Amino acid sequence: MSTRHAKVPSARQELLPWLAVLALFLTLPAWLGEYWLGSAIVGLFYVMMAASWNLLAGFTGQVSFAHAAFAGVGAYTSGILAVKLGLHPLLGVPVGVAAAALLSLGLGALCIRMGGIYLSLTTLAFSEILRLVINNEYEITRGTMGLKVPFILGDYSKATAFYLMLAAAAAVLLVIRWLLKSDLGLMFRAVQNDEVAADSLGVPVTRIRVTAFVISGAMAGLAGGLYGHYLTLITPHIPSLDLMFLVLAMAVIGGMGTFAGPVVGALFLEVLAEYIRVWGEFHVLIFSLVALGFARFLPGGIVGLATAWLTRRPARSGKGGAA
Amino acid sequence: MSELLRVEGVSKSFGGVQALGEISFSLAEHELLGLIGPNGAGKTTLFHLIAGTLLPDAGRITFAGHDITRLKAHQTCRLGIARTFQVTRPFAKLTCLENVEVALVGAEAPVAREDRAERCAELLGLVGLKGKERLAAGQLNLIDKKRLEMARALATNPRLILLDEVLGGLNSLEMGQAMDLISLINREMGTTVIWIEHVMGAIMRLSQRVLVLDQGELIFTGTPEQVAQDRRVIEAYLGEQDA
Repeated sequence: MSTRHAKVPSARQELLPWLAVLALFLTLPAWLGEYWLGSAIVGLFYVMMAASWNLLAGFTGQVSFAHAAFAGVGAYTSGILAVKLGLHPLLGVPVGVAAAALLSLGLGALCIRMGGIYLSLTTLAFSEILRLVINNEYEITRGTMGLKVPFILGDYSKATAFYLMLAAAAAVLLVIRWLLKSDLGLMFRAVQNDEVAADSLGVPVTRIRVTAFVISGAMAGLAGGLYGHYLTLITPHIPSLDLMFLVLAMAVIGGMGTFAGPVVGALFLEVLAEYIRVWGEFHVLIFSLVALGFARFLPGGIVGLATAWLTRRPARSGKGGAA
Repeated sequence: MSELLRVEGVSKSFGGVQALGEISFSLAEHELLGLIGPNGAGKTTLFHLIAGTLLPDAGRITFAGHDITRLKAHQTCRLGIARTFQVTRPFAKLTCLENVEVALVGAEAPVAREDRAERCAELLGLVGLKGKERLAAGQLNLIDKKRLEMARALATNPRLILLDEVLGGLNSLEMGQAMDLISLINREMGTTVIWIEHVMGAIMRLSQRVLVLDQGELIFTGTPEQVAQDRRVIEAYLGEQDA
């Protein structure tokens, strides 16, 4: 009989490293330089994407390939409203979030009952349909040329964009953290562990899964909207499968089903991507291969590895002392 | 005693194989009903149909005045039907405490949020899992997993509890404890029980009435004494067991 207990770190123990990271990030615009600050903004976009995808895939066990598509919905909705109606991005982004949430609800209600691989395939199809529509509806989306949109707030400034992204990313992470600690989060994990058992204990499985799908989709919409207005050029790259697989690789390499994993994975891969940019699109291929390796041999990702290492150390030194 | 559950002409087939054919019986409140039969007789299928894990092809099931024939498991649970699984289904990555908490929240049991941990611990203590509250359920041995199933089912505050072979694999001491628990659930708590079991001595001792299924047919209903003397039952089931 094993006696390994599930770990329950105190709230303060958990919060401290996050506050330290936040403090460090707050100082970035002061010393990082324009180029790397841009990279940090993109990194924060990926943090939001990977963390919200992980909420769905890592905590309810639903592998969706429509996450980048929902980011695209957020970006294009807000962008088109700004271009055609002159709506301010700070108002457009929430509309984009609502649009992403609504589409998630529609798609979720339609295909989540099927579950498993069918959900993955349907979301993949949705993603491709959206890409084709965006590419071909040239009058509205400007197709592959990209849609020129206004900057998020005031005159163009990377520091403004950075702080906005940081606030949004922190908010998204806080909401995810709160969710995971809530009753709903407990239901998410129950459904992921065993649907039939959860159902027999009164958990409305389909509704729980759709709820996770909608929350996650809305978060992707927020990330996409802010990112689009930072780039000031919204292209079909946002709702692309390239971006989707990059986000997936980030979550998997960082550690799926852990809270910190996607954050670590997103920042790590974004920085790494800067160094291997010369290899062009090959870096996505390499990340995907590495992610496959992680999925097969290290399903806990970097965070899982680090946690195992940290928790094993005291036990080992204890043994050494006894010998 | 008033009627709690009525099963009328319920059938279920899987592909071309009929698992249950036109089963009918009724169950009074506070009754403890034993359900026996050889492997493949359709006992667990009957549980799936009552609980709503599977839907019947024909027939009607009513529970406490509600037609529950087409209801899903989470809906019947909230009406007061709980179950355990023959092949245990713990939430492996959740702690034992969290496993029970899912049932409290899922079934909307009338327990205040701040009293929840206490209620979970109390239920875990009742089934003999005291001290294992923070253990991940996946790390429990088979017997403790069965205990956890009982604790979770009880947490939903059921009027009817469906127990699927909770004694399988237990030694005689553990079996005694489990039987005490079933007796407590039925007699002290007043919960109605349907109990599938292969351990004949146990089921004969505790059941007020026994149903015998064989190849999807209900072949006999009666008291434990009557069942033990019925020729068809002996041929179908007891004979092989006692041989």
